[in-house]
Amino acid sequence: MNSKALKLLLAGEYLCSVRFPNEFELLNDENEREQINSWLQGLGNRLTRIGDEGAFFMAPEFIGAKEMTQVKNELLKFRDEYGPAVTLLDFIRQVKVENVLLSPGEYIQLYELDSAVSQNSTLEAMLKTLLPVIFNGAQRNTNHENLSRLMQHLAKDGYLVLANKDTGAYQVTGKIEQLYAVLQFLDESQVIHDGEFNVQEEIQADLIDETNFDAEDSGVDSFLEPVTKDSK
Amino acid sequence: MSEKGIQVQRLLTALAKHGDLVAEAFEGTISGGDKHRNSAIEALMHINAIKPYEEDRYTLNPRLREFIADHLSSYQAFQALRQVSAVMRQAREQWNELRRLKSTRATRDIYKLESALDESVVEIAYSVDNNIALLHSLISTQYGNVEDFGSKLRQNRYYANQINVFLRDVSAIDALVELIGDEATGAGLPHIRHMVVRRLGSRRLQWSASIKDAQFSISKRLFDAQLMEIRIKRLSHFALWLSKNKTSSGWDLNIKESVPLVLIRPEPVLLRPQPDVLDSDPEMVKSLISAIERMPPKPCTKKPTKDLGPQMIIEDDEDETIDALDPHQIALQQLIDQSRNTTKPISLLAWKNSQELLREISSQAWLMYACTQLQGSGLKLNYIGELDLDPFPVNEFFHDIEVCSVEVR
Repeated sequence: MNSKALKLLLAGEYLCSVRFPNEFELLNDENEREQINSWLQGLGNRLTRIGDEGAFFMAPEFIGAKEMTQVKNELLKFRDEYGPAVTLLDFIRQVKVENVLLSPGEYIQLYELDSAVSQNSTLEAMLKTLLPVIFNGAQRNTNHENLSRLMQHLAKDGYLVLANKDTGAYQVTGKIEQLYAVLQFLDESQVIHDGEFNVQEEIQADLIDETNFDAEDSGVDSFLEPVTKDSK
Repeated sequence: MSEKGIQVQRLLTALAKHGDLVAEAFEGTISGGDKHRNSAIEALMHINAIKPYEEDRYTLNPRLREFIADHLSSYQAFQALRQVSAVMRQAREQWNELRRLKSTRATRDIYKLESALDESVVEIAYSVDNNIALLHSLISTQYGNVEDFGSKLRQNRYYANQINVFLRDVSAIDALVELIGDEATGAGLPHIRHMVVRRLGSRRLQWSASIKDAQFSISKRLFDAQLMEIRIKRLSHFALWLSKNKTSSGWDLNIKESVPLVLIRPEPVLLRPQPDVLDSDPEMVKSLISAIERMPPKPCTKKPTKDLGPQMIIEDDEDETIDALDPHQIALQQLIDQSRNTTKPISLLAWKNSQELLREISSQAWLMYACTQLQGSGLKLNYIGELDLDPFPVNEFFHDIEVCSVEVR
């Protein structure tokens, strides 16, 4: 059993292939998972992962009143618990505009953000509105310094990891999928009633467009159907 | 070398001579400049390597571009997969003609038709291989020929449809191979059957597998991209909500036991490593020693003494405090003084009863106190008690003590 992986799990870390590649590789081994699981079960926890291929993390063996209260409180204090990450990641999305996925493993270059913000006064103003959220962000700092602290803030929270110190390249970690899961849960709970925010409708619209596109343009079966089906 | 071979050689020599311009034209259009450049453009125009595009602008021959792009695996955005149906029709016609010539025994033309059919078959195989290479290249680079995410998605959809058409073409190739194979056996041209089966039929399964792999990757990637797009939308919507509702903190939701496990963030369990110091395993001992060596030195608790310089003690007799004596101490002192001044024994009880100071003290306490105090004063003490009949006395019984000034040696 890998003690480092166990310690990281007990420390509440998300072990993904980006941030902890060695431990993640080890946990892909079933024997290793069983050993760690037996250890965690002694503490009333178990090993689990986000989705089928996502990051590993420690979860309670059973969902009880304590866990339900924990989730309830975190959602009640969403602005404090998840708000900073949502706001800062969305800022990166807006700076990178078209080619951003914010998926695990994706690289985000600090100089790209710096360049985009310096060339766009709107982005610069947006960055300034985020200063109260950014840890150690300040008006007296340059844009580069504030952007650097924004990235460090996200890295401290575990959503990014510094991939190259010299070039200022950061990599999105697997923990971001936990944030997406929370947002999905909230979306499914329809906490936002405003019609313009209804993602589900947009998904449906996209899928309908997809089907129409396939049917009209190709006249063949939709490629979203099982790929094993022979196209004759 | 044949005349045709010499011409090919000259053509390639000319291309090689002006390779820099060909490379430039591959990236975009080229225009004239100095005399040397103009003559090079003219030479390339002469061999049809470049074509006029606009005023003083030239573009690379599309066929040459295609050849170079194939070699470099460099593909244009939305580049269509090569359609093999036209070449298959051509091969079919060539085969029909070949059979006709065979029946009329026109030997010379048969060789020409066989060569043409062979080239058609090679072209079909090449087109399929090229299409697969193109798909692999685009998938592996995540449609790296465009930057825009929307364009990537649209390319993904475009190629998903192209693949369906491509799969149909591969099925048609299989049918063609079967047809030619059967007819060639009947027509007495077994080497033709052998040729199409070897070049096309035997590779058909491999092609189908490769295409379906690509199709799966594209579908999965499209799904992932679609999913990611939804995630990004969600992220932006919640960020917008946070900025619009600055006074709201969150939502009071009814959380049930069926809540997704991923929502429960792990709470850190604090660990404090505790080595077993009693473990006699050499490795453990060695580790312990090395751990102790790594520890920082123990901070010195002794405070450094300050040098206060020369000091002088001032004694003030007037201020000397004299502890006030208790009544029994005063009485005892008086008893000692009185005993030393007389030779007669003094009964402690009698003396106590005569003293005003000792009125508050019981006789028992006085006797116990006085006898212990007088033992160290050099006076003789006589314990007055009843005769003890016990042969092995444990306690000495007395009811009074007499004190006299005779010193005990």
